[in-house]
Amino acid sequence: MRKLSEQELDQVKKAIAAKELISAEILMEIYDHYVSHLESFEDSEFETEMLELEMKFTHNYCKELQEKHFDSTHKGMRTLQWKIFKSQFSWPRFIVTATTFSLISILWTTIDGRTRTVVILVPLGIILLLIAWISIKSTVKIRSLKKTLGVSNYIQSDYLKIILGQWSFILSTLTLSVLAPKNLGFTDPFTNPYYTFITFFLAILYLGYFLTLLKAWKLKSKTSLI
Amino acid sequence: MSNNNLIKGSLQTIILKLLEENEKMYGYEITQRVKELTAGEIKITEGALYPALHKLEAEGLLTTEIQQVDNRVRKYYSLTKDGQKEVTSKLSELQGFVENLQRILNPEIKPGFNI
Repeated sequence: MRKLSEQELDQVKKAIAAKELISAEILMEIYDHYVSHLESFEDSEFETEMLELEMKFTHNYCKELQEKHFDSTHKGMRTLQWKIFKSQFSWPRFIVTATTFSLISILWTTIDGRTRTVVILVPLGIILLLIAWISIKSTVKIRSLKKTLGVSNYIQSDYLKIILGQWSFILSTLTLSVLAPKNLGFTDPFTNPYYTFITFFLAILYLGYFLTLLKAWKLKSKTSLI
Repeated sequence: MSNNNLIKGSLQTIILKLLEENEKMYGYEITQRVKELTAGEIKITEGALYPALHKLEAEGLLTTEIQQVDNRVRKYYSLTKDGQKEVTSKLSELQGFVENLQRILNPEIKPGFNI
């Protein structure tokens, strides 16, 4: 086992950068694979082994690996969040869940339609703050990875990409709930029972999402690039 | 003849078994360990290894850890509690399959024969 020279490392970095990958996790793993492999050969064999690696890790193969990684990460994140969500209904946590649910129900019957709209913006704001925090943490981790790999193009953690996708979905639910009553022909949506139901549903959704995201991030931040 | 197709179906079991014996391993290390154990007869391709590792991680059978090693970041894989349970069932499943395959290939072997 030997250490690669700066020139050899530059060659590896250039070869990896040429694959135009954006997944930080894949870049990190491929780079380590290249260097680990090349380190186990003498410097006279560097070019041959580098060529062999390049034949295995072709542009298309790396893109496919990137897509598969995104799909797996997406599935993993969804499974983890669902597991966290389900755990809220296990004993004794169920007491807290039921109490929270009851308190929101009581609150929803006592406040008017316009206030409900403002109230659902509170968990939404907290989610936004959490996502901003996760983005900052991820950017710091990725900046260090970019420095190691010497890449200047945009790279992102697949986990962050998934979280930002979920944020878009969350925002679209709010937009739909505000626009839908008007589209359905309700002149004063705030007094309509539909609006009471939909805002209650959104409040529960946002709160549930915030909790699952927070716990999933706490678990994943220790082991991944978020 | 390439044995890639034969390995494909048992790759997850191979990974889980190796991780049961070693606390944590990284991708390249797994390929080398398999090569070493089989005297180069079985070579796990990177095209199959990494998607399998990512899939096992997504299923919650593996957990990962990022470590700084010689100016680069390395991703280590290790078994979760669910993964530890899965090793036993995957191994007996594979063993059963090999036994049945053996009976097909060599019908003289009586049921109850253990490899």
